[in-house]
Amino acid sequence: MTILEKLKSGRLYFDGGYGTILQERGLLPGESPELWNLSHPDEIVKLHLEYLRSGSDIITTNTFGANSIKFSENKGTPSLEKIIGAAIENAKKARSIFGKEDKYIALDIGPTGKLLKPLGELDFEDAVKIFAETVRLGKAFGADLIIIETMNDSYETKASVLAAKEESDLPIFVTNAYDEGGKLLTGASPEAMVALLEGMRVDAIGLNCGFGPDKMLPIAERILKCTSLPVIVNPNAGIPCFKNGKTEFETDSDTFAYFMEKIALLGANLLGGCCGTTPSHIKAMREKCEKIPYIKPDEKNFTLVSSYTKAVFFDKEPLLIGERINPTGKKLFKAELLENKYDYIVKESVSQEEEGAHILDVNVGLPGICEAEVLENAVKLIQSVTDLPLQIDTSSPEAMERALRIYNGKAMINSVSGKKEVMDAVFPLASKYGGVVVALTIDENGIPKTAKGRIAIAEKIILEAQKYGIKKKDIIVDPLAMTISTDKESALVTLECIEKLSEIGISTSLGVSNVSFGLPEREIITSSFFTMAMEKGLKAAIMNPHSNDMKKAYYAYLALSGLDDNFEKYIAFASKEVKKEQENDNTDKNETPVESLKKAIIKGISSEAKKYTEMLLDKMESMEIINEAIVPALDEVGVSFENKKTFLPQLLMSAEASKDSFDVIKKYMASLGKQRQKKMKIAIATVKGDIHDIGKNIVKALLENYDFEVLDLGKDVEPEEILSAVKKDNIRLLGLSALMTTTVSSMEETIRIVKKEVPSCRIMVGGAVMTKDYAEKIGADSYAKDAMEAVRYAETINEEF
Amino acid sequence: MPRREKIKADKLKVDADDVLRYMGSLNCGELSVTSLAKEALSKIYEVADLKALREDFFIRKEDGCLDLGFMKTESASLCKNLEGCEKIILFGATIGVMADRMIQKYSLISPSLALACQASATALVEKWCDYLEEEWKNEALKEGFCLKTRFSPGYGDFPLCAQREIFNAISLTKEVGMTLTDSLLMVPSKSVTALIGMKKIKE
Repeated sequence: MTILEKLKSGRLYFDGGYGTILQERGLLPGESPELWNLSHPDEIVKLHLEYLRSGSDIITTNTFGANSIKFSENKGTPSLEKIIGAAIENAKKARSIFGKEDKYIALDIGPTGKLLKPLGELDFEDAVKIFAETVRLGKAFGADLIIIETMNDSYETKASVLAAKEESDLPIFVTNAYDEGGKLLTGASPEAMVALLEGMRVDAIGLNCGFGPDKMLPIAERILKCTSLPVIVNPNAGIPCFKNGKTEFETDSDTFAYFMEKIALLGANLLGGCCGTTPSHIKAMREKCEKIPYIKPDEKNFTLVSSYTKAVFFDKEPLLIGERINPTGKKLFKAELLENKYDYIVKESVSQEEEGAHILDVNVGLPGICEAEVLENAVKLIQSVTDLPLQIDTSSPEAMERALRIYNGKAMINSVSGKKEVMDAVFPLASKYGGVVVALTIDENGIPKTAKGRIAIAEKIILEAQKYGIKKKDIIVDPLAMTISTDKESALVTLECIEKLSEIGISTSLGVSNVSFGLPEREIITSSFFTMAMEKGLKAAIMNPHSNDMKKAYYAYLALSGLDDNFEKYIAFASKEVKKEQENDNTDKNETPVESLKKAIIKGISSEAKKYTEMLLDKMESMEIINEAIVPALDEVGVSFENKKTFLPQLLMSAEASKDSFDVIKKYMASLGKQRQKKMKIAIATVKGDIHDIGKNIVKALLENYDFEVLDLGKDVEPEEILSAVKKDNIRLLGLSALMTTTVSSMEETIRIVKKEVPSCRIMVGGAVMTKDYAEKIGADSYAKDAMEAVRYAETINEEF
Repeated sequence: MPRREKIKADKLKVDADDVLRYMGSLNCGELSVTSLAKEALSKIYEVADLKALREDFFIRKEDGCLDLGFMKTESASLCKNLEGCEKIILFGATIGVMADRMIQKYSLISPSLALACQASATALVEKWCDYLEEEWKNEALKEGFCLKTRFSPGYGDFPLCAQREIFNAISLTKEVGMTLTDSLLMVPSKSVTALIGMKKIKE
């Protein structure tokens, strides 16, 4: 009987700690426990056997840290193959001595010990490769299942699960290490992990390590509440405490068993231990828990999506899906996409979140760009600046797959339709990576005129999804809002669809703004339609979070429908409204608008800078505003900074205010179809090995203020990548930053290869460890001690050309 | 055996002035800069997750070289710092990786706020280390030891690559989530590793 079959009818028991026991038996501090598979196989077999005799059904191989980062023959260690081969051999030997075949060997996989990008240095796909190697060997040597454990980062968890799915067909069990507050190190909540892991279709999930069973109880409860999968709980024997000059684990086997019994009563079906637990803990636990009847996990009906940190539920309270990251009708955003720039995307991600969006739609479809690549980059960037789940919006299956693969969570997939070809392409992706799929009620014959016709398509899509194992709860139907200007009945049809679909338990989402297309003052119509749709049971709307009319409709609806306890949301929204009005009325009557704009920039007040720029655009040419207000203000701050009268934070605040002012002008010019002439293009990067880029980003902000076009190559960039960008974009000035003495060597290497192939390219360097002498020594043309110096040097080079 | 330390961030008080100092703008007198510092500090407090791991080692001098119990070093400045000590506390302390995420986020949106977050995070990790030192000092006094000032890889001639030995010696990655990159940077970046000499107080 396979473990999954067995799990359907009864509780199963894991083993307990290994590392802590091996240390007692002679493992030295700093010595890898995995090496003992080869050097002390008898000890390992003995310990496995002790666990089997104490009642463990599953024994985990001694391979927690067995990965290709740590073990390879060219690092002077035994090969990974030897370690894993021996580990599984040891487990098999213990099982055969024990003499019962219905005990299972779990290939144990722990974290790599590296943090993934963008926080750390390890690339997501490299992490997948590292795990894949371990899984491949585990499978080849005959493990019965894979246990991925002690994962404290959602992204690394995803990489390991992806590897396990791609390299084997073994059952996959996953446990995460939460802190006492119920969060992973990188912030994920238990609900977010349930969303991610159920989406990826692992076989059991849970938690391990960190602390004892008493403190795990509330977290286990949260997991049990929202998952339909069997739940694993493998606690430590409490927290290690410092007693009489040595560290001991505080929880003895009886106390451990006492709390594990409570956890079993909650419905957890896979129980065991982690650090500090011993065969006697397992024995005591099994004896206590045996008496409790088995509780079969029940199917939960929640629809949920997640970001790297939190889960969002589709529930009574309708969700707002921000629609702004979409180039349709946005000239500036289009221009940025064509230039491979992402400033608009970052800005809109953050501002839509601030305006109360719950999910962000991401669409970068534009002729002339490689959509798959741009979408992947956009998703990576957006998930580094927002906590919101994303709705990936593309009609290209290739782009969809790349985005879903690197997405850190369970995404919304926008969209499928009733067209067979589309379902054939999208459903396999949803079934591999997880996701909640938006289903448009359109098929080969177009959009049905009646509600009945649209509901029939919805049902067809849901039926087809089931073939891929995609549940009804993971489909959100968009019954399509058509403009009333061409058919006055169309809104009614859509509303009828929402009502009927809600009645049969199908969630709906709607791009509401279409309804008013072709009419004047559209938001009046759109926001009222939005209210009507919510009243019929709409679960989510794709909308503009900046639209006040829409927000008014939304918060009023929540307040009137009993969905806003103590009217907290409404009051928060309403008080923001009042504040905005007050802010709009503090104009100094004695100043000219040009003076006011200059002052706003010097003081670094963005909202004022924007306001006065908008006012000035009514009466002045763009270039006049730039030359008479923005540039003089920037110069004043710049000179004051150079004279040490102004400090860096003020310089930056001014830079941000002037950027906002520039943005207003850019948007205005774009609307007239004009473009401003820029100074030369400068490439900047933080060198290989250096993962901090705040300094580089400061330089970038300032250079852009002085009208330079900046090609930002990012951080931790390979010398060859920098060289190829210099060649491709015909770069005449390159800026490099390094923070550590250890990364200066990659700076030197970068300079060497760029100078060799493109001798005309000037290179300026900066960073914490740089000095003028050092810069000269490694062949740089210039050293900039701060961002202003970088600007001044760039200006001289610009003059030269 | 190592021991874990943990504290809620709000138990430690970082002043806006500490932040301004790390921003290089103490006494700049601008209200907007002070409020920027305060805003950043409250954001860092929200996400900070203060953890530390400590393990003690006996040390020994052997001809021109110092055996720290987990590595050997010839560093003259460290030898001087540990003069007369028989034990050391080796520790790693961090305010967690979410602070890095916040700094990264704002460096894309608002460099001034990023700078202030960076400074707030630095001030907080320093405060955390000061707090630990103070606690340990009082504890050590009871056992008849006084503590030297903390000493980190990269100080004087104690090489940065000692980080590798430290990360091998105590399980900073598993216990407190600190990691070391190939280029010897720590992630979370607002982390400290250091050793503190323990010297027997003469009767």
